[in-house]
Amino acid sequence: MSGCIGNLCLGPAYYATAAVVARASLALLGAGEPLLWRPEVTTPLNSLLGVREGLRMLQLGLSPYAGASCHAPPLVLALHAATAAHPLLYALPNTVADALAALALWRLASLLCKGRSADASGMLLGPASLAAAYLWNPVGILATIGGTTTPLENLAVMAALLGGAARNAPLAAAGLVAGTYVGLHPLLLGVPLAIMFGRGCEDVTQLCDARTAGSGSLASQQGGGTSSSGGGGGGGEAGSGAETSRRAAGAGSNPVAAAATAAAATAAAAEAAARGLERKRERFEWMRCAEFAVFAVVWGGALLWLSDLFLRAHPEAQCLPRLAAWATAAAPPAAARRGACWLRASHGFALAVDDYTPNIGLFWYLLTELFDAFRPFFTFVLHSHAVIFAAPLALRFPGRPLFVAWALLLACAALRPYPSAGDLAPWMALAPLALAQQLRQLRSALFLVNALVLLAVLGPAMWSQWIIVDAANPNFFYSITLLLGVFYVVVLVQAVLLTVRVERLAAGKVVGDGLGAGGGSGGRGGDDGPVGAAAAGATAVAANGSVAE
Amino acid sequence: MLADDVACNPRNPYPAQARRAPTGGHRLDVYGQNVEVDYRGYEVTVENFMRVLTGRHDPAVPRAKRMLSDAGSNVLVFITGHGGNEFMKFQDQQELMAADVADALAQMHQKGRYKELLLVVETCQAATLYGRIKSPGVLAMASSLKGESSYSYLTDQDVGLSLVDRFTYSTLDFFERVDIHSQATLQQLFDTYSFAHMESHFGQSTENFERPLDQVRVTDFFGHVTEVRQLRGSYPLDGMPSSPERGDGGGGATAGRGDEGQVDRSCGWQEAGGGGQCRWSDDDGDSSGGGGGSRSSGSGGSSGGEAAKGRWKARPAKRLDHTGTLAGAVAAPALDGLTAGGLVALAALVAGSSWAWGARL
Repeated sequence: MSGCIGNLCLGPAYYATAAVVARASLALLGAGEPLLWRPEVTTPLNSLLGVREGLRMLQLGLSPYAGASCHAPPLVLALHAATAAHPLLYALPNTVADALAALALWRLASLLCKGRSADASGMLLGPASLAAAYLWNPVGILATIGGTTTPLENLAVMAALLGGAARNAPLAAAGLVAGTYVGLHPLLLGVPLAIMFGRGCEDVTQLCDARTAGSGSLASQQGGGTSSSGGGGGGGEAGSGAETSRRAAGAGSNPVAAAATAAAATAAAAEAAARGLERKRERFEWMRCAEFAVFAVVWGGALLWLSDLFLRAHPEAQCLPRLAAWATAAAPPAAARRGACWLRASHGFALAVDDYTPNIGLFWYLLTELFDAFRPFFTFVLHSHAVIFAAPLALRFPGRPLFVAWALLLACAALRPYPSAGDLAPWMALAPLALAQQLRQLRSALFLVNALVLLAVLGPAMWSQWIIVDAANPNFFYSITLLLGVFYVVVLVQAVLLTVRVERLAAGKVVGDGLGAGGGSGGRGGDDGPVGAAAAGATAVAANGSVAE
Repeated sequence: MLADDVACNPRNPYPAQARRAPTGGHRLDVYGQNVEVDYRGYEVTVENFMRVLTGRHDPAVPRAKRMLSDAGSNVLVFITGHGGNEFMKFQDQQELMAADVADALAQMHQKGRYKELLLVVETCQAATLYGRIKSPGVLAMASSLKGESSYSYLTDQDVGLSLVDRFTYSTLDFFERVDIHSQATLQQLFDTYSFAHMESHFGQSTENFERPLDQVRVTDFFGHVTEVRQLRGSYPLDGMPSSPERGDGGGGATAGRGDEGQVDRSCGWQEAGGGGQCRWSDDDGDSSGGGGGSRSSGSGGSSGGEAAKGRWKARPAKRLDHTGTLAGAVAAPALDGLTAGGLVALAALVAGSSWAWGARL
């Protein structure tokens, strides 16, 4: 992605810088002011107005959580303290967070591509282009200039995934803890991160269609198996990956040779892959997981302690004394009687779903029309929807923690109590990376993109019809929200099916034409794998050529 | 004052209407769009009736519920319902006595709340209700004399009740033949009442009324004509001088423009000597630079329809007051040095440990 206009060629770095400048300019132009009131961008949890109110109350000597509108955690308030009230500079922390998140994404993509170019690694976008695309994501820009606290959460998520891919325990733990601190739902990323530490992040470029890599796939499978069995982490994989990449590049440029070896290598590759996966399963490194957990606890404790330090003038808002008293079964401190601590105001608010302000989530409408007696049950069920994906996905795809993380980001964006537009940014940015192989199999990309664009138009239109024109009712807006939920479900199901299909392709169970509809035919085609492998040599050539290019 | 249980009664087949039933159809809705009811339901009590007449209200009672009459007003009091010898029933619960009526009118006279008053009573033995009145300027009419009943008229086949009384029917019959410019006199009205139609004798009391009835127009009581002149100045209320800085009170011609309540009201009502030359801008678009006093928010010099725009331009843009200005509040910094230092230290620790961790692998 390097655009050349005449003699002037701009690399991705220029695009990235332009995106940062665009954010600053839009914020300076005051484009963020109306976004403070848009339900799609701002929710009670991440609203800048809540941050401003909390800061103002602090200035006036009150606890920021004495009122009802500040639901940001204390350190988020601290980060915005200098700039939130300024009409022009309020987007500065978010812009910095976005830039850092793009940097983290760039590092993550570089790590996973192992220094190869985009074409060689078979991904749609190279690392730098991916980072620039992340910065130019419209929903990300909206979230930034709207002054929401979501960019901080996105930065934490990116940092956590970078730490996981690099198996850097402090970084991953810091990202996870910070993400949980800001938004609570990134806590679910702990599951894929633990897998990443125990087993290593999957090589999104390597576990690809066996026919695409040709003879290189056999060696790469074996190389991957041995390196993971050695437990060498990123270094070992990088070494073997480099030579396989050369071989893969060589094979890819010669489709005939690749096809010739493909049929012969398929069966062998399947066997080697199975062996490699088994080896991977045996060597789950618990020590690394333990290190990760220890760092998470340390950073978490530091954040809690720092939050209480920030609120030391308001002991009724401090949480550590209460937690300590509860843990030791001692009497709660005297200040506890004056109100809840900041955890109740920020995360307790998200868990209890106190506020039914309309947003693009699914909770508010259902909770509005419930009788009070059913509220706790429905709140529990609705929260479970977001949480319940973590374990099954991790169990089904133990070798693909990055994909599991992506799927959990998608599920959380869909099923949080207060989702916003900024929640779309992480999973949209990670899709070319985590789903590098799956996207090659995706046939309905146009449909999904158009669906998202249509929903992005209809949502504000229905909101306007309801609130501004007063010609509609909340059902109109909620119907679009429901369709957005359906969209998320479709994307998630497509991704999972494609991943299953890619797995089967990698294991050599399915040859087929590679362009079968989604993953359904891939699933059904598993039985005639060996037969199809021998008989489909000719078709494999044609398909191979089209897929490789 | 109406008990107002007719129009919306569940038994009324014509909801929100009370249709007088002349012979041959329901033509006239006497509970139409221009019926103003000030006291309805449980507010219709003898006490409120007396308060309305005498003007003795709780300070909280709004002006719409007061009879704002003065010594130049002609007052019409029409009482209809069930009654008897020197009383009239209120809501089947209370009774208005003839003595109460006399006392109320005496107070009204003392307080100068009427110039002439016409009391119309339509109850059984109606004439007994005004027997004790001694206040000057009061003319009384009654639908029946002592010992007589007043009767209803024309049962409505749909509702099952009579919707009008004989006396009221005769009166309406007369008034449907006159209009606001009519010269018809009360004597002519009184002459139309007949025992043959009302089945009771019409009663009247002119002993306190100076003018002869053939010189009293019906429109003196049953109509309302005023001469309206539109002035371009502001009227000083309650004897207060119209000062430049008055933000409230006064009814200027363009009072609606006062969006921030600081409309200049220093019209030269007094300065220009009775002509009402207003020296502030009005809808005619006259240029009125300067004005009689300081303008609001320094818009100065703009005229006519642009006055409002000028005020908008001159005022600072009303956006969210981000910094907030609570008078007297000292803005302490939200982020103290200790927490900032802690944040920086934590970030440095995370970065350092991550770098070190990555370096050792």
